[in-house]
Amino acid sequence: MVWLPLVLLAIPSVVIGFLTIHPMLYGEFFKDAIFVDATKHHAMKELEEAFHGAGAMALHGLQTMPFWLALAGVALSYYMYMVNPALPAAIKRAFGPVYRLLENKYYLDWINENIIARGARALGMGLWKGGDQALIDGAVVNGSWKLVGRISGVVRWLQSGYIYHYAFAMLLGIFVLMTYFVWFKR
Amino acid sequence: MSATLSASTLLAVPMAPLVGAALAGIFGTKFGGNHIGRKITHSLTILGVFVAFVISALTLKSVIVDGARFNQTLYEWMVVGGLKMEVGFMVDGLTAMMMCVVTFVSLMVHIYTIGYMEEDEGYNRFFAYISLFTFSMLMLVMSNNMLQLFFGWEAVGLVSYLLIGFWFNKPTAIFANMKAFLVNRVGDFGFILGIGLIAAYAGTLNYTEAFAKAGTLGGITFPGTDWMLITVICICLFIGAMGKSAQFPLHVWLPDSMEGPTPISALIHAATMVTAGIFMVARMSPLFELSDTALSFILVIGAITALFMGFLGIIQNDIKRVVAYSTLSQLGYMTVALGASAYSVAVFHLMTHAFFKALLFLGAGSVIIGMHHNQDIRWMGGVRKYMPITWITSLLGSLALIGTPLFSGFYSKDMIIEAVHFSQLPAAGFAHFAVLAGVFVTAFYSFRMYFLVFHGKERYDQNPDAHHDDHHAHDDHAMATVTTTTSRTNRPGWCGCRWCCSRSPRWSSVS
Repeated sequence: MVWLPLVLLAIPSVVIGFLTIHPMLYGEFFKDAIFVDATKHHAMKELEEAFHGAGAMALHGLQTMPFWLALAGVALSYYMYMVNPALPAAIKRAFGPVYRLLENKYYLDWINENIIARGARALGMGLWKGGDQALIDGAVVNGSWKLVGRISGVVRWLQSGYIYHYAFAMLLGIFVLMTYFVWFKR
Repeated sequence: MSATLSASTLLAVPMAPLVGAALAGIFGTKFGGNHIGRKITHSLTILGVFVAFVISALTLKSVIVDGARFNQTLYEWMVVGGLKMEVGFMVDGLTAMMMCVVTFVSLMVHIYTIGYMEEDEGYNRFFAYISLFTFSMLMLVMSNNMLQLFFGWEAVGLVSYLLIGFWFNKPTAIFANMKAFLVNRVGDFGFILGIGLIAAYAGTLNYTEAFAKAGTLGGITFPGTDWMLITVICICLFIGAMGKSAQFPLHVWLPDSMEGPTPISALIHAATMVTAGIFMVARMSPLFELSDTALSFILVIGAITALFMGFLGIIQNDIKRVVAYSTLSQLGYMTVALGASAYSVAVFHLMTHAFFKALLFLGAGSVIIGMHHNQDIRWMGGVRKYMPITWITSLLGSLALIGTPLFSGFYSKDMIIEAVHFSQLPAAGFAHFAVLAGVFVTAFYSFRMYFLVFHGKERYDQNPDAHHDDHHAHDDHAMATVTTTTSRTNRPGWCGCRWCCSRSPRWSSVS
């Protein structure tokens, strides 16, 4: 059954343009689906004026540039791959840099993978490690409880519950205050 | 609105493939316990798509003959602050034509798949996916609002992702589907910004209502800048089209998508899904018409794609990649037509291209099967003797592609070239040169492939990477085979040939 779709697709490939060009491009078919501002963009209007039926267009097509360009393309490929198969390899050698540019698809994949994708990954990694882990988790979320813990650790050490610790602290305070008032504030 | 089109009939168009996909996907795979066999699976899904095709054809007939139109909301999903999110259909000439193209090509691909995938373990899963794709694409083209358009847009992207990675134990396929997915997200980001701007300024997602406000939208400047709002909207929407329709520089995923099975390349990556961007711009023509800047941008991007992707087609040796670059180049042609305000010409080329490019891909698939999964055209040659139908149909497809007078491609391509010639946008000169030079390039790579595959000496045994020499050509019942061994059943997994995925050109005599 593989052949059936091939044949059924080949039929419209050949005839559908001839049959539908007039109604689709110059008829009413797309009338309320597609809007063209004819005063500003008059390509469609000029096309319509130049169009005199599908048959006439095919006949006229024989005299136009696209037809001869296509014919030249076919002829050149026939010459290069059927008549003189050594030529493509020679051209490839002669135009090495151009060939390499094409072979690497204008280096777009390289740019995408090495600059854009790598840059995006570096940015994401930076935001994850620096922003999320260090700043938000490290400094803000964990930093706040760590700070409280550190302060209360000092306070706990001071409030030991021993009277002689408090008496010593008072003596130390008196010494500091007296030093200040007697020596420096004279 | 006409009595000849009823909502329930139209609803059956996307629903029939969806039911087929659900039945095949749930009961035909391990997921639901493998309750239905291969024969029932393909019958069910083909029936679904066939029903959709018949109704689409009847719809097209009533649109043409009776001038029937349909524009109605079927279901209101939700209302958020006055913004209605709905499901509805809009059927006019553009939609009816797209429905017919999608369902016809999909039907052909379904039938072709019976032969192409017959040895694959994922047979039922494959049918479920392609039917699901048909449903998504129909929702996209039939939509009457941008939310449903976006739903269809993402759903076809999802199915494309699943199908590029269909052979999920093949590393290159996994890389390719991830690449397609990510590149499409870049485009979708622009697309959703465009839709969001329309929703913000027009206050609606419905096409008709949004287009009615196009005049007021056209007079607003983008806050904080002196850009026109409509230009920003159109360029954002077009960035979405660039992702989906693989326009430079977001084209990089399409050649890699050839890692998927060939029927998919024909259906999704040539005929239908990749043309969604073209369809969308044509549908939004009342907006795009207001911004010459956006149209010039479209023209330049299309011209670059049309010419430079064609150049790449010349040096490819993989048969599917040649056709893939040709698809890119042709999508560029359609984009150029959009830029020249010749939307109907773009859609006309979309339609003719859908037929002949699907044909070329299915022909390439036949050749690949015949060559026992060799895809390198340097090791083909003389295939016409073994596959006469593939040969003739591929020749017809190639002639249509290069624009031979009287063939369908001639009419659409010549009209594009003429339209650009008449366009007065600043970029039209460059675009005209690009599409004209593209004609030569197209003819050259198409017939390079044609001659290397179908004519000349048979070079099957020169492949340095082929470890086994049982190359055989089989093209189903109609074709003669050059089989030495018909060991077609011993292929586990995605194809089982060890050299399929490790093929790398080491030397080239034909190039």
